[in-house]
Amino acid sequence: MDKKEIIRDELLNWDNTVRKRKVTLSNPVFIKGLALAPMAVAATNLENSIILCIAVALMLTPTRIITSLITRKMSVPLKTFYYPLVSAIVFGVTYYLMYRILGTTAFSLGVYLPVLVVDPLIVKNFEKTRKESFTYSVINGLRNTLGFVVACLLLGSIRELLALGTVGGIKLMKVSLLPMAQHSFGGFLIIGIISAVWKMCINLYHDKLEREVAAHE
Amino acid sequence: MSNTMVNAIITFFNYAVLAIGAQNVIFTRGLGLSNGLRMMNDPRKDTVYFCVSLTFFQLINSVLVYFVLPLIQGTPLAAYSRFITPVVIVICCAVSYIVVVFLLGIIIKKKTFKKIIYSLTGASINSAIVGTIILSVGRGFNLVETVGFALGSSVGYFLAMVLISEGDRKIRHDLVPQNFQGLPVRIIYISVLALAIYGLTGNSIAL
Amino acid sequence: MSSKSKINLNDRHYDHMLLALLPLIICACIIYSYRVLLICGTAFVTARIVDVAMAVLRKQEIDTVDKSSTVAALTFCMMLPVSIPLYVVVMTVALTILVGKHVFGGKDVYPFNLAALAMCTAAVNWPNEVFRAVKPFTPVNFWTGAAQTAVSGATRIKNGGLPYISIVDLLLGNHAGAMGTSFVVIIGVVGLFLILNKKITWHVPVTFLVTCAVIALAFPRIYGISRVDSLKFELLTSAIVFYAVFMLNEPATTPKNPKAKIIFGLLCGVLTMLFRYYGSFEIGGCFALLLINATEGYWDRLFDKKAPHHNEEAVVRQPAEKTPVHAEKKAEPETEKAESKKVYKAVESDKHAKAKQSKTSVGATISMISRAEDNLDQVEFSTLSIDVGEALKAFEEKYNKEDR
Repeated sequence: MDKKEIIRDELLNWDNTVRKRKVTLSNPVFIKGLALAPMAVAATNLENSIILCIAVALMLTPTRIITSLITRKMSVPLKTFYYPLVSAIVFGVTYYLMYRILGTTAFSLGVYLPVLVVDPLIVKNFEKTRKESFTYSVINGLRNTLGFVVACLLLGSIRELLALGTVGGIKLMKVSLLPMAQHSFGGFLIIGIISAVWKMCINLYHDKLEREVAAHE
Repeated sequence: MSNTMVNAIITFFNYAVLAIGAQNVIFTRGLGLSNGLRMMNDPRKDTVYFCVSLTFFQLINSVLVYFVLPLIQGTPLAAYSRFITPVVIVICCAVSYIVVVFLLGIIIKKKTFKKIIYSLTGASINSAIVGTIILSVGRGFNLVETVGFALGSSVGYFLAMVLISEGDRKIRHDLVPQNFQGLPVRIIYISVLALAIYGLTGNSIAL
Repeated sequence: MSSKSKINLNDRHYDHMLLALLPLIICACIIYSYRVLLICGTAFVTARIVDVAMAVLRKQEIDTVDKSSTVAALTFCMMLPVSIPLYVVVMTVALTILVGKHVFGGKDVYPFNLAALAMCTAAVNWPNEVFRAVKPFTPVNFWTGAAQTAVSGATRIKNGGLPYISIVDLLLGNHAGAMGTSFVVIIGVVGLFLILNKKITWHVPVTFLVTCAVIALAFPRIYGISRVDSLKFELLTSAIVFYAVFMLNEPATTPKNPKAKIIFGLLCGVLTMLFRYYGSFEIGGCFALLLINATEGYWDRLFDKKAPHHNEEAVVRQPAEKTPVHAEKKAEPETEKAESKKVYKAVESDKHAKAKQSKTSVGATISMISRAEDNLDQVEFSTLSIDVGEALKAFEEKYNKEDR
């Protein structure tokens, strides 16, 4: 398939394209608004963001795989709690691993790692009754993880830069432009603005694809 | 009334007020916000039913966890209690949900049951509940403090959701720039309210 | 046509406010220094630049009549000390006008009082600069604002002390404080003039002041002084009179109905005193106003069910931008509750019929819910410009396909 057809295919099946591109077109944080609590309150600097990313990377895909293996036929009341239960157990293991590797730094985010257990980022996709194949759950889990990691690192760096003028502890600016970025309301504000910019980029990308198709024809 | 009783009531209200205002579960801690926004988008879930159910489950589960968690102290698992707490909480939530649903199914009329079941399911387990319980466990609250904090958290959640849905009426129009419509303007609206609540506390919360 | 006349009225309100601010600016120039003009000018220019830039970015006409940003910027300046560094003014005004006004839709529809929002933003970002007071007639460096600073009366009360200021100085504004909020007599006269000339209504300011006074009388905060002294210091050292005249009458962010206005003023008063007593900043009124602004539409609806919300009018006034929202439409699963309700109802009635035919147990209901949820998740709604018919069709198609 040449480039032109790929573009046309993307445009025609825009729904599908969006669903596949979890990092850009349907980013779990900036487009879907998942995991807002840890993002707005805990991801105040790059270090915290990295801890969050490690936790999500270790939790999300395994939880999806385990649940997709067993939940072929399960009634809904059971399911409502089966998923959080799986994610809670996976989380316990993850948390313990992180504690062994990072030491008490793993506990520095307090309540914001444990609440990931019931966050829609991890539990949302399981509300659907549609069956999920093993490969699909692996691929989708990895995509979601990557989308979250990109968003989290971006947000953490921007907030640290605005609030303290540093990124990962390295001084980049002499002044702190917006000290409120380290508070939760500053976090909400910056998530909102990044989300709008993100949407603008998606709109521009879509327009660009449309223009390219029109040019070919 | 004895002195201890009065002290208990004062402690209860202190913790409740703390949880409603300064430590508001949404505006200060952001807990349950993703669930809340999804709930507002969902036509079958009613804000009032959702928040009332959330209050109910919050209270039950806080008390349940308060009594269940000490049970593992004697066992070899005690050393890992930090890692097991979420599992215990989820199990408690599951038990309370199933009991409540089946009791309601027996007691109330089917039509009413259908009306509230959507909200009930969404409210039975979410990060507002789990976060509040973990906070009160981590700080070693006693029973009165736990109940006060749980009640305050859910009332705070309710007030926050009311403010956010009231705001939704004001920010949902075409004058909002196209790229800001939807999620971004909503989050920015929440950030202004969070800023207002911050005026009451003045310091950032401890994670 | 009624909406058009209303908008003219709003514009005229800002004209009156601009005129009302003028005496304060002149007084501030006299007892502080000409740096006041520099600060006000910076704020004005910043606000205008942001307004014009947003108009250009959104490809709209540049609005030359709109003075809401100017009034907000100048009101904000009046609450600052004369020693404020200019970057604080520029950053705050730019951020407020951008986020508080244009993100929420611009003129007449922004939900929060801009001056209050600006003051809160400045206070949480640069508290040391914002709460530094300067005594009157102290020499101030024109460009840097360097001056000998003093503790303002409001800060002294906040820290549990007693401000030793005579009543005459309190009324005339001859004590360390912000640029324009301490001239209580002048603010009072301006307020009275505005009310008597029907430029603003009495409801909100009077209820607000009375509530604050009652609370100050009933619960004195300062230890060991009489109730009357408590009233004097609470009302005169902080900017309460200034809030009442200049911030609580903005047409965009206050209710329209008289009864709603009274409740609005009452709540503002209670919350302001609450924030002042227990909050961590002296400017409790601004934080309280932001919170109360969020409930404003509710009071209007409560007392006047027929009256449309002013935002709805504004939407009618200006047709929607016709730019397509394709990416949004697909990318975001946000739903309009009202619209999706229609879609949902259609499907739900169908489902109800089916459920009735088969089983009627609790388990069946729950499984039905989950299926409905599943189907609903698959239909993607946009936040705006949703085509209900189309969505319904898509929904039914998918639903039928799955059923087969």
